[in-house]
Amino acid sequence: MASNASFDKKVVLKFENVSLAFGGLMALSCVSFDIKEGEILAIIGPNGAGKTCILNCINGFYKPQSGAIYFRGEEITKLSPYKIAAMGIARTFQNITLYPGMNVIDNIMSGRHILSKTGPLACALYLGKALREEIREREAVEYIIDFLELGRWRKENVGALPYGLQKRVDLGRTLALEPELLLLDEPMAGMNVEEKGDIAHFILDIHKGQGEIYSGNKTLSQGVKSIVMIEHDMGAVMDIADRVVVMDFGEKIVEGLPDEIRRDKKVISAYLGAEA
Amino acid sequence: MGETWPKLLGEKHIKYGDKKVAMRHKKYGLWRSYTWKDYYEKVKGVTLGLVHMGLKPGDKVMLLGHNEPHLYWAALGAITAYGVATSFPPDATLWETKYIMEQSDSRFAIVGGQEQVDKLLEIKGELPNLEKIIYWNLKGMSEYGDPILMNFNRLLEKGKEFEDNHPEFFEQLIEESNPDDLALLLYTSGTAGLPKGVLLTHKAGISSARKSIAAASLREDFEIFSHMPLAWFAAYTLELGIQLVNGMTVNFAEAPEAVLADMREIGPQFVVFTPRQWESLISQIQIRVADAGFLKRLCYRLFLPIGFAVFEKRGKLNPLWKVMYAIGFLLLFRPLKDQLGLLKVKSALTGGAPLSPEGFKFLNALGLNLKQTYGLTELNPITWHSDNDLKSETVGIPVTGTELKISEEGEILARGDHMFQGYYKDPEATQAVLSDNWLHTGDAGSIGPDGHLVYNGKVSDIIQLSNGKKFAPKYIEGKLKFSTYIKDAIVIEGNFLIALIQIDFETTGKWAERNDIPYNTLADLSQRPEVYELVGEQIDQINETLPEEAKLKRYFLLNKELDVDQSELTRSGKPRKNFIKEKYKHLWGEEENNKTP
Repeated sequence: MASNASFDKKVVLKFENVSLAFGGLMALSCVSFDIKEGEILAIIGPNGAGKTCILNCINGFYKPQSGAIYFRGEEITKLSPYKIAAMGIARTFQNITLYPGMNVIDNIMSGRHILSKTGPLACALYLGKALREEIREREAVEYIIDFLELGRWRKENVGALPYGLQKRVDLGRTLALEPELLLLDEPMAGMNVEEKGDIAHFILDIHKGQGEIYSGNKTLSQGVKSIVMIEHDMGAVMDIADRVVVMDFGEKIVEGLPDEIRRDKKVISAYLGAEA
Repeated sequence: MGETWPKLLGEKHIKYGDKKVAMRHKKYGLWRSYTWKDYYEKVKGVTLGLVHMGLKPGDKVMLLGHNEPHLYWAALGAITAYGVATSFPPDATLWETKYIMEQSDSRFAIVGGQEQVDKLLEIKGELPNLEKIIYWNLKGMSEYGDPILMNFNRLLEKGKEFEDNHPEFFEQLIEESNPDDLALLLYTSGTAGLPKGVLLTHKAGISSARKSIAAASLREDFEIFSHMPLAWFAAYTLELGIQLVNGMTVNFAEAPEAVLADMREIGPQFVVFTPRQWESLISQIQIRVADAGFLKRLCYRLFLPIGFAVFEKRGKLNPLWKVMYAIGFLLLFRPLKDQLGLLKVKSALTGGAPLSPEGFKFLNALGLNLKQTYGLTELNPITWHSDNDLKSETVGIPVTGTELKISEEGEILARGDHMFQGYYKDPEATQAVLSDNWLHTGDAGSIGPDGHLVYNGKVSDIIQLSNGKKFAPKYIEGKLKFSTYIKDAIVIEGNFLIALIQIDFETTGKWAERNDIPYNTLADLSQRPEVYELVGEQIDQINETLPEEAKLKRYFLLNKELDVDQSELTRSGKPRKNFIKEKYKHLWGEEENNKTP
């Protein structure tokens, strides 16, 4: 285990020589990169490059065979997903994984479950402390609903909402977790230009923090300073990412500023096509 | 000295303090309350903030925003600082906003948020009088750095600073406020041309509110719901005004589109809707019933006629009817009103314009105690239905302190102690409507032997039939609009009467689905021959009730909705007839020419 002192204070998450294999298939081979405080990092690459594997390793769904992942200096490689979530790492999924039979409020509320301090019995009786907590949590959720402009659909079952709105609810649920690091897996997949623009705005606003207006919700008022985003839309990546990591066949081929990536020969041939 | 808006606020503050809720606002999903003390303090902040920034007596303060408590605080703050509150609906276009900002010479604008700020920033170069734009909704505003902008909370802070240096100043302003001072500059809807600025004193506004409270029997413990744009005089009298006079609680929805849903959570005792809003409620009921199961439809068919009959027989019910109505109430009227959030309504009103007799009877059959009123921005109210004297064809009898007569030309003339002071910067227009100390309303009407006023639409809309008789097209339009499949109708006089029909997309769409008629848009549906026939059947039925000369000979289905932003409707949703007639004349032009002998 590395000692805390050896860590750059600015690094939120360290991904160190991580290799992951499924049988003979190398999903990630010796991938290393850092996520720094205050940056939006985009991970790009063709299908099957191992992008989602990286997120699955970070939030504990996959256990890599070698290498280590550190969150604020603490190794999290072997921790279970719920412990990692409780440390402040939240994620959305490429394929929406909401509770379709529950309404928008309850779906987002479910993200606050890990913050709950009352026991199951008190919650079941719904008295005193549990009731007060529920009201406080609901209020925190309402700020998220307002921020993501979901008020009109607040009481509708999520399964009946259009795809773009479901993606927003998914984002809302991760915000409910009050994360320090936000992992977004293709937040704009399947959207039209206008919806993509909306999501890009939401991501930038989440990153920046909204200050006074959402003073009742710590995450929204102060912002989530570190965000990792997997995205295929190069335009969106160039617009909002501070730094880009490019993956191909389970290997990191390059990392750098969006402009450098755009000009990089290896990236062009691997991902954007040889004659871009 | 008499009553003023600020004095009323001061009285209520002393009477209720923090013991009674004055306002409730749904914000972030929860209802947040403001007591009379909070209300008073906020108005104090706005007032002193504006004084601190140099507001002079008579300066205009423009209010642009959706109904939220801030809008009320701003309006009363401007008035208490001896300014004049002026406003326009927040959905106004850039062009309209510019016209009103220029016409009113507004020095300060207190606005909702980004949408209004964007509009004003775009035109501020052409508004030399405009000094500050104060906004209360912070959403999306963090990147705006224009020095003309100011956060509403900063205004309140400025007010606090001023108060620290000038204690008791606010109380003094209230004490010395004069009932004959101008308080409001409100704009007419402009059916005939550009909106005119109507100047109103404290006295006129308060007198209007008092007359309304008496006419609608409103009580202090009522809940009301604020949803009319504060740009209309009806909102000042029937929401803000009655609250200040009577101390009732005003509720504000989370967003304009959430009014109906939020209203249901509150259950107001007094509601005011425009005819258009009532008509859309009626068509919603009809749609839901058509979609309901067999039992519900049976209940509706069985008990609705009982509702009608009971309304007709008012007060003279024998026990059998009472029992039948009680069953109908349990099985139909109660659940229906509950669904619409109207269960607790003790008194309802149509504002803006009268509702068609058919719609009026329908809503009263549900037991809503709906009354009609007639009034203009210049003088409001003029008439009102009194209790147990509801007549579907009339708009009631003159309210206390109001006189009414009909000129030889058939125009409604009125006067009262709540009359306006004149049009802003337009003495000629003022002279034209107030020539002989009567307000010339421009509306046609007649007074029946029972003293009830019948409103017949604009004088300029009255047509002469081929037999020489005068006829109000409004009468036919009302009948047309009551049809489930017709949303709007305009009757135009040519060599014969023509109806321009806008179908109700929702109900007609459902009808088309039931009959396997494919369509995609309104443009498509409205031009289907089956729909043309469907409307034709409705028109045939209506024609049977009309005298020979007044029967509709032709009708056209519009392939789009009449649109406020295309000047076809006024901001309050009234059709601009002359404009529409001119715009669509190509529809019937040729045929008419061909038929001219």
